[in-house]
Amino acid sequence: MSIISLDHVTKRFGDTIALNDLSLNVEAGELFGLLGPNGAGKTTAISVMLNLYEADSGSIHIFGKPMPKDELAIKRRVGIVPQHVSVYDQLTVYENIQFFAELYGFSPKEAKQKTEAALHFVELDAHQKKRPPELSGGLLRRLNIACGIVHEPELIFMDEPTVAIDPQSRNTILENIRELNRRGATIIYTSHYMEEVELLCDRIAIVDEGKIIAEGTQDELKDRVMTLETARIKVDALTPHLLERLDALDHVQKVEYEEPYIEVSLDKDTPLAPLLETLHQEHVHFTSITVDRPSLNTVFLALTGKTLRE
Amino acid sequence: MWTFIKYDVKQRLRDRATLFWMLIFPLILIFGLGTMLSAVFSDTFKLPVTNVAYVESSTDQYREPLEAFLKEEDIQTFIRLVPYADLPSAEQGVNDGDADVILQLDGPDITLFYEEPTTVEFDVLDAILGQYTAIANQQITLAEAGVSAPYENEAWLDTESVDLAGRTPTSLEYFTVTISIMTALFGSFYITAMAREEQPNTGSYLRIQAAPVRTVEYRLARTFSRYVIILLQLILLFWFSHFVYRTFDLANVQFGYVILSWLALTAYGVAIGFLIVNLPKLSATTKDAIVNGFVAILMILSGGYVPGFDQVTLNYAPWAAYVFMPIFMRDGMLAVLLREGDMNLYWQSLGLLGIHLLILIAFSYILSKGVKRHGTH
Repeated sequence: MSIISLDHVTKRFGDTIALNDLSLNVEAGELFGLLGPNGAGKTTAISVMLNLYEADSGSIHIFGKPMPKDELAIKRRVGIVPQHVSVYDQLTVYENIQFFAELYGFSPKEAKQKTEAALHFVELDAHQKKRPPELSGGLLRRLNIACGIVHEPELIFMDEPTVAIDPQSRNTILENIRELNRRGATIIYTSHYMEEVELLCDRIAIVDEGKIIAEGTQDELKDRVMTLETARIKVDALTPHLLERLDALDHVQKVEYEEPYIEVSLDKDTPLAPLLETLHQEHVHFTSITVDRPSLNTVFLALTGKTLRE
Repeated sequence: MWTFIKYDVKQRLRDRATLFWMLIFPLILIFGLGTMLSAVFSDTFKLPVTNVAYVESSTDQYREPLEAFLKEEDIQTFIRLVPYADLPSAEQGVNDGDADVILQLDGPDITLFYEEPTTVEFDVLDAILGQYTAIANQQITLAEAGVSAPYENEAWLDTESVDLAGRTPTSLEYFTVTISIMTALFGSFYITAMAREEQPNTGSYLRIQAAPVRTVEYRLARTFSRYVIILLQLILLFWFSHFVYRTFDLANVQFGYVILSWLALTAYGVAIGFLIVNLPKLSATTKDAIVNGFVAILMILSGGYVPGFDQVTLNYAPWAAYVFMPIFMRDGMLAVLLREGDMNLYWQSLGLLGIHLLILIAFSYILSKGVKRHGTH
């Protein structure tokens, strides 16, 4: 079942087209990544899905309900973890979380229970009486998450939740996100950190200049752009005819040697057995073989001609 | 709505800047000004006793009425006459510190000699003697014309022109004006501040936008919570100033009308706030600056902070009574609120304020349509 369905959505700010005929489907239970450079339109896409900005054209359905027509009913089931920490400085950690719980219709008593669960989930119990200015960057990010998930939403938008924090806090947050997904929440995760998206997401949409330029699982995306694989073989010696024999094999495009590695460029999905057989026949011992597959950055580069950090 | 109100009030009360400007600063102002001005404003204020060196070289015709006048109980409270034989010896008396001022009656002429700069008690004495002379001259003229002009004791003192309380506002008037203007204009402060926080997709407002909450509910709740703070402030300031300014006579204050006028001024402030928020092509900082400037100018022009300045404003620009703060720049309004005055004037003023509101709302609406048409980021 599609939790999110965007159909030809366009959003303009003056002369700038922030979303350009964007269509997207996200299934229930997915951890879906929106990957793209800064300014690609990821945050605008989230904002339009939540009707924070009104779309200029196209249709949006969340949980099968039309947005913005069923806005309030939809929003009750959705949580958001914004890119910038969005909490109140004059309220304590506990009060901030409780405020957002009450905002989603829970009674003060229920909100207290939810608050305590959320505090425990992001491991902020020890800091509950502090105010946000007293917290470190990592703790603030965790508070930001707690405020977004305290009402146990079925769909969570996480907009670059790990920007500018230390590795330890990043790992805690990534583990929190996996746990939320394991508990059944559908998560839309935006980032320009490809490593995080590769690590977390089941399916990924690559966004650039307001358009989805590719969508699928990591393997599907990589397959779209990959025509060659590179096998790096660590050898202890080289015989006079080895490189020529390897070059003559079917599906081998290029062979290079840079001691102690032979690098063989192969057509995609070429079996490695003939390579290894040739090495055996030449009595060349090898100690390791690695096959390089493209990263998401390579995919993005191939699709757009630019890197993710641009 | 209750959630918003509860947490917003909590935040305001914890915000040190709010606490300072809304409570600490006015309290300091009241205490400071109260200490300085309460003596002038007080009904029980007494001028210090002035030693007057009195030199007389006249006839009974002029001497007796003057001396009778100077021996009156009211005059005796701040004048002590020290007779001297002639002017040089009186001057010596002043130089020795035995007298502060010289009063000479020479024939029909009354002259007051004093050193510059003068103090308020010399000015009062000068004014009283000036009036005495004027009335005495009038009586002489009338007598010479053969017209009977009976001596009237009451006529010597013109309370309208001499009584300080008649020319400057009382402390209660001063605070009613100041606090009422603050009520209205803090409203506009809050509206612009609220609008600044309501930039789409920024700060905590993003979460509010994403929550299942109607914008109108959110705005109403926040407006309500901020006026709760203002009301708390008013009560506290009134209560505090009551102890600083002893002239308060709350028994005569028409609290019902005061509260109604506060509500009207609240609406006025909110309308100004929304108008400024909707001004196109201006940054939030500029809009804040406009409101701040507007508050300061209106506060001063209307006699808040600077008692009596409203009279200066109206002297130069009588139309200001209808354009700025239509409630408090109209003569007689304070009489309605603090004593018993012309109720027609009160209702007319509220009507005038209603017209202001309609104009402000119309402008805000037109401007907001313009903003929406041009779009925002």
